[in-house]
Amino acid sequence: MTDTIDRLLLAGGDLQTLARDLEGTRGALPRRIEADAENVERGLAQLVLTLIELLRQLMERQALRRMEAGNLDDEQIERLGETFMKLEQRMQELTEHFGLDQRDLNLNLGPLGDLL
Amino acid sequence: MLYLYAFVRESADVRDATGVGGAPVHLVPLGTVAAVVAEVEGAVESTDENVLAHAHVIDALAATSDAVLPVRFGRGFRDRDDLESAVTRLEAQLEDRLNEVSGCVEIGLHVAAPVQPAQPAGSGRDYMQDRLRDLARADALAADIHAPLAERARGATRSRSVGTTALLRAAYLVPAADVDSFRAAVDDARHRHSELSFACTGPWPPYSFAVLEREGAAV
Repeated sequence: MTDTIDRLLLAGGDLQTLARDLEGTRGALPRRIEADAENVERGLAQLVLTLIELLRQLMERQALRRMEAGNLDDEQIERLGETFMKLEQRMQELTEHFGLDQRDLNLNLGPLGDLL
Repeated sequence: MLYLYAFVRESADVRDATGVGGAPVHLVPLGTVAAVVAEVEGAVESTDENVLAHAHVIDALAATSDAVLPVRFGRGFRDRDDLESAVTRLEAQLEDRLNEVSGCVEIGLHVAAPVQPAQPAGSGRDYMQDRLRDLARADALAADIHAPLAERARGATRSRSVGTTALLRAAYLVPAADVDSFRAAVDDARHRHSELSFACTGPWPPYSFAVLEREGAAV
């Protein structure tokens, strides 16, 4: 680990956030679910919620792009917005339920960058 | 199997370097460039130990020669013919890239915004407009940090994120002599944006600048 510390040129702010961000680079290597009896539920929940979060964010982006391009009418915008809003609330409840943090749902999407 | 670490100039010196599994490293000349390889038995597993051994070889190369194009972990070839046939057609591009990174190091920068608890929106439309505003704000912030740094660097790459928490994840190709002044420029940005988290790392071998354009494939 000394290598890593030697190479920190400058840091400031909430390093916890950044450390998690760096952990995301591990996504380039095979990931394993912690499969012991106590962790298996949480591990699976993390995996499933991460995938749902990815889909939610991608769909939301797509909808926002269509809205910006003027391809959605008022009614569609209202309906989509309400759906995404409810989905976000529900996701928050689920992450809390499984003792996860929103940042646990980060995912390295390779050339697309990070999810969160 | 021939395990590939990096490309260097044909004149580079790789004596005494050992890599994954302690296998000694040697050069395979391919015209003006040379591949840095080691003979290994079977596939190289992606364990922490092997990944670090790979990185150490590249660090050692970067310490002794002025131009190194690191190859991603895990690239092997059946034999010398297999390597040569895969690489020969890329020789001109490799040479250009070596010239580009010559004398330079990579500086990495991660900038993250604080996680904002979502504000309840009054309506679906309000929610969508809030999101659009968040995205525009994140884009503007990231550009404000990235643009002046990219201008100082010989090269810059930036990966996109879908969300707005990881604001900026970028790598800059900086002449080794300019690392201090570049660091000062990052510090400047950090003071302009004290609400954000910054981590600037380096100097690294130019991993992010060793991507060949053909098929967008990383070497």
